[in-house]
Amino acid sequence: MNRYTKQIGHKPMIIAAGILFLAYPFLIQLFVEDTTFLLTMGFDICRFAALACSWNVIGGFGRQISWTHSAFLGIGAYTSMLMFMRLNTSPWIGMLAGMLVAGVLALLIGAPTFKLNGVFFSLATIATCQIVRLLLLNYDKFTGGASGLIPPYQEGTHLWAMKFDSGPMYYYLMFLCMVACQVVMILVDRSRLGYYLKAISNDQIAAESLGIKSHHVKMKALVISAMMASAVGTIFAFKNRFIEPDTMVSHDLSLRIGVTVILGGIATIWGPIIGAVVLVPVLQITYAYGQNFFNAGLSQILYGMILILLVIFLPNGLLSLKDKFAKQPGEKRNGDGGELPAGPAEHTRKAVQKDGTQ
Amino acid sequence: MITAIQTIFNGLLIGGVYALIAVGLTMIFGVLKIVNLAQGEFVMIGMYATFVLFNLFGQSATSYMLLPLVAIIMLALGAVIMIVFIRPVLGKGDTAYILITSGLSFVLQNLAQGFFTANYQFVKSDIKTASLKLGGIYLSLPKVIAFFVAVVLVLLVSLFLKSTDTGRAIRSVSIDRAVSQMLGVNVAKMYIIAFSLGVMFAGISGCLLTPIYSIYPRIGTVFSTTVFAVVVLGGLGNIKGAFFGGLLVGVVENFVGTYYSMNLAPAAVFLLFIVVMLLRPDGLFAKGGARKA
Amino acid sequence: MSEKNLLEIRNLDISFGGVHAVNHLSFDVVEGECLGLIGPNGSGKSTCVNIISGLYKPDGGEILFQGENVLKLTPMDRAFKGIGRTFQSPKAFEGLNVLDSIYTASLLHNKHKSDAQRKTDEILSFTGLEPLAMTLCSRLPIEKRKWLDMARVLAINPKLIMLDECLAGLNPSEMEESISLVRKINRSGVTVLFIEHVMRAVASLCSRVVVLDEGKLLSQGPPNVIMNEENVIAAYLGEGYKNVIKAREHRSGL
Repeated sequence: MNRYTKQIGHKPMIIAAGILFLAYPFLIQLFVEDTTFLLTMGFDICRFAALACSWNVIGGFGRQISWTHSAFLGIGAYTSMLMFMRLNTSPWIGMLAGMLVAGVLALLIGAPTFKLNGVFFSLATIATCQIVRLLLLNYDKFTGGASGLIPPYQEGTHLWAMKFDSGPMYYYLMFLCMVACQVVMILVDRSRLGYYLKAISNDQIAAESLGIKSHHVKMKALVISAMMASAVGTIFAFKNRFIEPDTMVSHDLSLRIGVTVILGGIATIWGPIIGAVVLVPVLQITYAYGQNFFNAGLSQILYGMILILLVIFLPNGLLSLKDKFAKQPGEKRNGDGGELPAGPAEHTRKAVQKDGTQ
Repeated sequence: MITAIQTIFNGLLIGGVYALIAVGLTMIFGVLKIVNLAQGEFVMIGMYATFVLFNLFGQSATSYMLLPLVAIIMLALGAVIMIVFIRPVLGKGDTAYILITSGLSFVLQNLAQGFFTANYQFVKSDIKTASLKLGGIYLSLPKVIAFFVAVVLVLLVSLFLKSTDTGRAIRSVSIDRAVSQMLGVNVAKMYIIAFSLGVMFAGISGCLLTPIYSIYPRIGTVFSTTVFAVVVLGGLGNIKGAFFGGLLVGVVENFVGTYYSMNLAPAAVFLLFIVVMLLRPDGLFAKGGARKA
Repeated sequence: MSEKNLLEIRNLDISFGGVHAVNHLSFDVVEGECLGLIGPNGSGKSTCVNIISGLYKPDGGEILFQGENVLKLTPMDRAFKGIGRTFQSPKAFEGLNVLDSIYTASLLHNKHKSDAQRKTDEILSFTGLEPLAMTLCSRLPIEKRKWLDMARVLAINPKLIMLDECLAGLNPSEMEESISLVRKINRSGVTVLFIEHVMRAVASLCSRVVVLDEGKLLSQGPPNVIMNEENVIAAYLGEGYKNVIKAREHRSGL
C-alpha cells in the first residue's frame, strides 16, 4: 500500500450495497405480492450498470464518447441465440463466442472511427450502430429479421440452456455479470492500459510524444468494452427468450448507456452503478405508473428533462455532488477529471487526425 | 431503362426533401457548430403546427398558404429554445450539445404524443397524389414544389451569409467567437438569429412535407441521422454543398433501396457518411483550401 | 575524448502553403552537450523540433539519431529510441495529478511496476516536484507546468531532450530555478537541445549555439563568439545587445 495504490472507495458502503443487492429479491417480497415488476427492474438495474461499466472503459477513461454500444449488446444476443437455435450450443459457450465476435466488430468499428476527432467520432459511432441494426434487419433468413428469434420453449430449469424457472435466478445471473464488469473496469483503471487511456484522453499529442501508441490503446479498450457489453447481451437475450433487431440494437439504447455513466459520473469507479441505480427506477416507475398521463409520454419527457438538467447543472454527474462536501477538493486519486469532454478546441473542426499534425 | 431514370429522379426529389431539411441543420451545425440531434423534431413541430393551423382555419387553407405563419411561429420557437436550452451550454463541448438536444428531442416527441396521441395525422392536400409527367417520368408534385423551395432557400441563405452584414457577422462568429467579440460583433445576438433561422427552416420544411408524409410524433427520427450525413457530406457551413449533398444522399438511398434492399438503403448512406468523413472531412463539395473550419 | 554525434540533421526541408519554414537545414547535436537553438520568431526552431520528434513530415532531408535514420518512425517509436521533447505551451494531463502524469510515462518504459514507481519517485525529487505530487495538474502554475513537462519526459529515459522555450512566461526567480533544473538534467548525462530567446540562459547553459534565420542556418559556434557576430546581431539580437554583452563582460571582469 503506497501512494500509487488507488483507493476503491468507502469499503463499508460497498459491502452494504453488495448486501442490499444480494438481498433485493427477498426484500421486495416484503413490499409487494407480485414481484415481477420489481424483479425485472432489479434485473435492468444490473444490466444497465454492467453496460455502463463497459462503456466507461472507452467512453470514460478514454473519453471516446461512442454511441455504438448497443451494437455489441446485440451481437452478443444474436451470436449466442443463433448458436443455440441452429447449432444447439449452450448459451454459456455462446456467450464466449459472442464476446469473440463483438471483439472483432470492435476492431472493425474502431479502425475507421478512431481516426476521427471529437464530434465526427460521435457521429460516426451513431452511424455504425445503425449499420449493424440494419444489417441484422436485412439478412432475415439468417437472423430472423424483424420477426425476431424465439428459442423453442423449455419447461422448468435447464442450466445448460440458461433457462431458469424463477425470476430471481436471472437477477442473480445479471448481478454476477455486473460484478464481473465492475471488477474488470476497476482492473482496467488500475492497469497500464488505464493510465495510457487517461493520458491519451487528456492530451493525445503529449501522450504520443512520450511513446504511448494511442491507436493500439484505444482499440484494446474498445475490444474489452465490446466484450463486456456482449456478455450482457447474451444474458439479456436468454432472459427475454425473444430478440429482434430494433430492441437489441438501437440508438436510444446506445444513448441511454452513455447517459447512465455521465449521470453517475463519467470516468469514475462508481459512477456507472450509481447512474443505473438512479436512472432505471426513475424511468421504469414513471413508465409503469405514467401510462395514463400524457398518452404514456411522461417517462420519456422526464428522461429528456433529466438529460437537459444534467448537462446544464451537473455535467460531472451525481458523484461530483460529494465533492461539495469533500475536505480537500481537487485531489482526486483516480484522475477523475469528470468533466464532459469538450473534444478538441471548439473551432478546430478537422475531422481526421493525421498522426498528430493539427 | 425507364426504371433506372425514374429511380434517379425519385432519388433527386427525395434528395430535395433532405436538402430542404439540411438547410436548417447547416445553419445550426454547419455554421454555429452546435450538434443538434433534435432537428428532425423541429421538422415534426413544423408539421404539427401546420396541422393545427389547418384545422384552426376550418381546413380551408392549403398548407402552402399557411407557410408564412408557420415560419414566424418556428422563428419565435427557435429563439426561445436557444435562449432557454442552448445558451447555458454554449462552449461546453460537443457531448453537451448531443445530450441536451437528445433530451430536447425526447421531450418534444413526447409532448407531441401527449397533445396529439401517437396516431397518424394528416393535412388534407388536393395535390397529394398529383404528379408531373416529364417524358416517361412521373414526378410527384408536392416533392417538386419542395425541391424548388429548397433551391430558393439555398440561394437566399447563401446570399444572406455572404452579402449581408448580419450574415457575415454570423460566419465570423462561427470561425472565431473570441475574435468576433473583440471586433464588436454581438455574438449572443448572432447565435440567437442563426439558431432561430435554423429552426425556422426546419419548420418550413415540415410545412412543405405535410402533403408527402403523415404526421406522427416520431416522424423526425426518420430524417435525423440522414440529414446529418447530408450536412457533413456537403461540408460544414457550406449551404450549396448541403443542397448537393442532399441530392446525392437521395439518389444513393433510392438506388440501393430499389435495386438491392429497402433496409440497406440507409445503411449505404451511413457507410458513405463514414467514408466521406475519413477521406474528405471538409465535405465533398468543399471549395479549395479557403474554408478550413 | 571522442565526440559522437547523437543527432544529425541533413538538408531538412519543409514548406507550409508557400512558406519555406525550414530550408535545407543541416546541423549536428553532439552527445552530452547542451546545444542552443536560437533565432527570431518564425525562423523555424519549433518547426525543426516538431520534425525531429515526428509531428511533422519533412519534404526532404534526413534525420540520423545514433546513426540511424528515424524519419520513417512514428513519434511513439522515436520516443522509445530516446528522443524526448517538451512543448512551447506545456501540455499537461489536466485531469491527472503530477504523480500519475509522470508515473504513466514511467510505466511505459519500465517492465516492473516497482521500477516505474521508484523511477517516478526519483524524478519527483530530482525536479523538485515532490511537494506537488498529489496536486491536480490543472491547478499548477505555469512554472511548475513546465517542470512537469520536463519531469514527464525524463521518465522515458531519453537520450536527447528538446526543450521548446521552457523559460517563456516565467518571472526572473522562476527562470533561475528552471535554468538550474536544465543544467541538472544536462549534467546527469542527457543531451539537451535548448530553444530559447533568453540569451542569458543560452550563454549560461550552452557550450554551443546554432542560429536559425528564415529556416536557414545562419551561424553556429560558442555563445560568446556567436553573440558578437554581425549577421547574428543584425538578424536577431539587435544592436543594443552589443552593449549588454559589453556590460556583462565588464562586470565579470573580462
